[in-house]
Amino acid sequence: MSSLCLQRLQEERKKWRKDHPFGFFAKPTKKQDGSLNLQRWEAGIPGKEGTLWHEGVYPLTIEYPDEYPSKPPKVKLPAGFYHPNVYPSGTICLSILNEDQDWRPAITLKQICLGIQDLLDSPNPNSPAQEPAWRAFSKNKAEYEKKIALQAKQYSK
Amino acid sequence: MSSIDEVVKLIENLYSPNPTVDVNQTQLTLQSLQKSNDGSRLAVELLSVSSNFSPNVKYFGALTLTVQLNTAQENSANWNLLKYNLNYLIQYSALYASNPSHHGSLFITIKKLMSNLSLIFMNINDSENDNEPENLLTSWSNPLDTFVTLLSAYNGSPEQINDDQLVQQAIQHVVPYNDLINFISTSPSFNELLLILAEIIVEDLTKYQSMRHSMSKIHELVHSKLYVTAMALLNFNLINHITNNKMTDVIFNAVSAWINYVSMTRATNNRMDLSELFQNLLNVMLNSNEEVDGFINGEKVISVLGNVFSNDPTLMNFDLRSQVEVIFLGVSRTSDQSDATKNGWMLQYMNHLVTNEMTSALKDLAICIVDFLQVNTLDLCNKLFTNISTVHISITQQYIKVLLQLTNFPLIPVIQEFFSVKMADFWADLADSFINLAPETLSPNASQIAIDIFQQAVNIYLPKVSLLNKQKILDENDISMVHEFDDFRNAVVDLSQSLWNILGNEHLANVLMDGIGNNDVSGTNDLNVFYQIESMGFLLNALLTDMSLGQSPWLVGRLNKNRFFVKNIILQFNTGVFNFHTYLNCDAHPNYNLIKLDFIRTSTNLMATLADYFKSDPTDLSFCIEALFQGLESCTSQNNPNPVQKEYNDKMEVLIIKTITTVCEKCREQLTQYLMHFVGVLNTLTRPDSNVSTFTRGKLTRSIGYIVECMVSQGPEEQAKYIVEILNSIENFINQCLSLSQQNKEQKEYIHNLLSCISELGSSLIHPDEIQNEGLIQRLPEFHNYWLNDPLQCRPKLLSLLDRVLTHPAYGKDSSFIEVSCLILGKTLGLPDDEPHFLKYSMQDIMNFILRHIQSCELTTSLPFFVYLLEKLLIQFKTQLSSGEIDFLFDKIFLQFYSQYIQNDPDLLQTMINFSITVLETSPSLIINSSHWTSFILPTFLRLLPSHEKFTVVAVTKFWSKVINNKKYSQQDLELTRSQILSRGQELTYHTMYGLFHTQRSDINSYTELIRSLVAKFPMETKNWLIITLPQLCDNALAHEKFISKLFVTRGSRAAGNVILNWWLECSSLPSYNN
Repeated sequence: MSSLCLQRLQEERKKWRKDHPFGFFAKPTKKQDGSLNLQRWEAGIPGKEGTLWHEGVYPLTIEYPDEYPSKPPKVKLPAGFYHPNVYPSGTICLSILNEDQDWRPAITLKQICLGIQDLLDSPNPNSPAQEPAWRAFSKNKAEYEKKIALQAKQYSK
Repeated sequence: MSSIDEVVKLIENLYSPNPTVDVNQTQLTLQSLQKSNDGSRLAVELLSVSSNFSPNVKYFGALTLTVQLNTAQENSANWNLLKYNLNYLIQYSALYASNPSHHGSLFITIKKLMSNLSLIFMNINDSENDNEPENLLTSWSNPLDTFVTLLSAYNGSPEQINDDQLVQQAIQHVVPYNDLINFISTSPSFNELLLILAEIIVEDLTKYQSMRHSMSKIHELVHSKLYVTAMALLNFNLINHITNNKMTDVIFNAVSAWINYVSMTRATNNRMDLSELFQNLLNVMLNSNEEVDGFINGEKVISVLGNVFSNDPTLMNFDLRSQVEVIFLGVSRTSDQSDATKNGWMLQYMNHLVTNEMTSALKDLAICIVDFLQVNTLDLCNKLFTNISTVHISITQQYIKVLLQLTNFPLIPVIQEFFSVKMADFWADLADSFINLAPETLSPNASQIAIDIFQQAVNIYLPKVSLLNKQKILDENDISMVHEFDDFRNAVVDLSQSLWNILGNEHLANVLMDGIGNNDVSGTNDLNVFYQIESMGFLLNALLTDMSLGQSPWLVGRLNKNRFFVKNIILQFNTGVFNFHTYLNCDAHPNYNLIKLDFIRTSTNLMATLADYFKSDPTDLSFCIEALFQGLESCTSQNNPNPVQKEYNDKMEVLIIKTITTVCEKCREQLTQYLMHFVGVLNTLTRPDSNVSTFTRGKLTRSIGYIVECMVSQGPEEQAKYIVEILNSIENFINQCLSLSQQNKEQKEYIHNLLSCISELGSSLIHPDEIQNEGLIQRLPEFHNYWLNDPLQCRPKLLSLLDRVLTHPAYGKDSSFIEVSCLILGKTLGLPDDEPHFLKYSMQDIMNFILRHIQSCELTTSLPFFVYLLEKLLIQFKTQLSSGEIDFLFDKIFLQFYSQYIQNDPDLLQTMINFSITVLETSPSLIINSSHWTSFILPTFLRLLPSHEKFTVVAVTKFWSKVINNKKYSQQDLELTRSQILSRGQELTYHTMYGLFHTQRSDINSYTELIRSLVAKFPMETKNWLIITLPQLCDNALAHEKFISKLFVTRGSRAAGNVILNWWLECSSLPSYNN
């Protein structure tokens, strides 16, 4: 890991501890020896109140490449996560996480987490990443909502 | 608009709370006047001091000058605007100073004029204006001096300030320190106005920093001139006028603005030293007390310092920080007796805040102190744990004492005190620093010191995170603070996980386990006992989830030693589920349900974590499972009419069933003896009149399936017995429902839920990779044969059940039933051939099922589910399928519906194309040798290339890329497809480039891979095809030539994408974002 990457990740950790939205969590994972792995984080995104998502806290893994912050982290929900903009592998299709689109080195973990929370209830119909959820979202809202509610229970707090 | 009176009327209307004329129209009219050539003249008239215009009108005059400043092009106009601004600022200031209470309403206009001046100051000194020699004024170094000069000299005559020469002189004039002090001492209002001007200028500079290219020249100028005056002004005020109540806010606002500005410029400019200012601030703080000002100034200084420590702590030098250390922590490195007094101030201040319940100020103080502590955690770490530091041991001990005292601030966290909350961050930082210390630097007893300190911190936090405090917060009816408290609890969990690296099991997990399990609490009726157990369980669970309990004999031994551990956790669970009302009245205070839920959450989480332990010692497993089932029964036994209670019950139900599933999954072997009992429970809960949620039914079926999965010791017959019993039960309930004359929404949901349960059962019976069931491995052929023969006819019965549901008029058209049926039938597709499973349907069974129901279903929503199933089938049975069968399937599933449904539905088109891709990726010869390949697939997919539907384009370009470049091809396939491409190459290139040319910018990338494949596999031909195609699309020979030559020397997807984009931009005559 480059020193720039390390420095920035330490900074991100401090910033997050100091200021993060309620209900969210994010922390580096541990290596086998018990030390912190700053390049791989686990986080939880609560669904927004008043939405179908609100019952759940959705687990994320965030992997920071060596080139971070020049390159964005790879952010994944669990494989098979039901959402129009989440690939079957769990990778999230969000412009701020795409190097070729809106990623900027100044984007913080907090912004990423809030961006994903927004995305949960406001899918982007122009960036479908999985067929089942995308199709249900566009053609069969009742079925889509039923599955979201069920998934929320699966990830309930 | 001819008359000034009319303009004034419009302005009054604009600012009126009840405007009589359309505000938007008024605004537009006034804006056009402000921007016009008469704007300055209008401003002058409106600002006329002698007029009787209202403050709003005068403010609008100043605003008009702002508009003129932003639009003026000519230099002479700029000079006049400077003069007007100065003129009216001086006139209004003089008027205000003559009788501040009477002319207070002028203040808003004065501030606007000051802001205009700061804008002019920036414009004049902007580095971009360097090359404009004709500028009348090229430098203005110190607006404060100009203001002082003009206001001192003002004799009441407006003409005086209209004199160009006088203004020029005032702009150049440097005011000596004594004159400045004389000026501000002459009149409190002069002092006030100058402070406000000093504040506004730097606030504007800070604001504009991000909007301008470079302000370094201005910052240098500020440093050399304005800064000197401002510091003299601020320091004089901090020393002499801070006790003047009226001035306090003005002074602190100016001080804060300057600190922010200096902090902002530090990266690019020479450092502007603020030491004197900080020293004066500290003095002001120490002089503030109960009698003099009720600690108001102390509070304000803390607020300023808090801002510094949080954003730019090194703005304050080491000596000053040492002084702060003495004040905040009472740690003195000198024998200076006054140090004790300084810390005494802090204690008095804290006492004042606590006594007067000033929780907000106390929170600010906590943030300030902890931010200060975190300025240099490593230094503190060195002091405490290494031999690098030369600090005396008594100082170190004082440090530890103060840090622990701050953490243990004796009030309720979050709502009354914030020290413990902030200190959790600090301790985590300190723990990180300690862990990262080089071993050779550690003092001999560093580890013991660390263990002592951090263990004390944990002991302090345990009661702090107790739900007793949450209860107290709820008693205050402040539900928003509950979230903050939950966040605090999570921060303490993070801290304990960090501290585990230092304290280890011995000093942390061990202590928590002993705390929970040492004593039998079954006889207690004291809620506090359960609160204590909950706090410890809450932290312990986080620690245990990081470890693999089953593989840690040490931890297992420890749990065994604490014989009341599981019992007490179950008691806590039961207290939450059954007895909570005896402690807290949830009916009267519904928010207490949150605590009840926390009890259940912590205990169920811990039970789920303990599942690994139960595998090695199942003594208490049955008690645990029994408690969970009783809990489930309790919260689902009746339909609760109270919606609040129902909401909490639903949450409890989810927590409990998820725990049951985890325990059943992990302890499946240990639970086999209870299987019959569980199946009985499942039968009860799957009844239509049962009150459980669909989620619970599915999860419970899955849970029981896990146990059935490992029922192998008595052969497949025994396992099948349970499966059949579950399936029969579900079938009966579905049949009962189907036989009813009318079907309603609830029945529909119920039947769907029961089918989902079958799918869940199927999933749970797939043997997990990580479980090495020796019994199964030995009897694998037996199980395989059994399920191949399926003597109890599970599969046909189930298939018949699905047919009954799907042929029922109420369900056959509902795609969710098709979906769940396809899930069931495809459950084992993908499993190895020798893997036994009750849902192992044959290829023929599945194909027949699809063909039977595709005719009658709602195709637009159901086709994708059939195709998913078909794709899995294809992958599983690729060696058994022939091209003829693919032809047959393609015909029955796509072609017969193509003209009526598929061709007009982008989703179905995508489904059909994706199926073709799957065949190409799985076994390409099956499709390229099919009769539909040349008759339908290639020509149709060619025509789809220029589609306007993004998803069709994405799929069809992927298809063609796969046709051109496919590693699965045999030599024969390759030759066939090459000849097919060669014969259609011109057409393919045309459709591709036509589609690309007419697509929107965001979809250009969809074509990149296809073009790259063509170039890679057919370089010579593609070049010719492009040379013929491109002129047909647009007349831009140069762009086409450049495109072709670049495309054929480009490597990599991104580079090719750029070449394609540039061609598209040039041919569309659109600008690039990069230009």
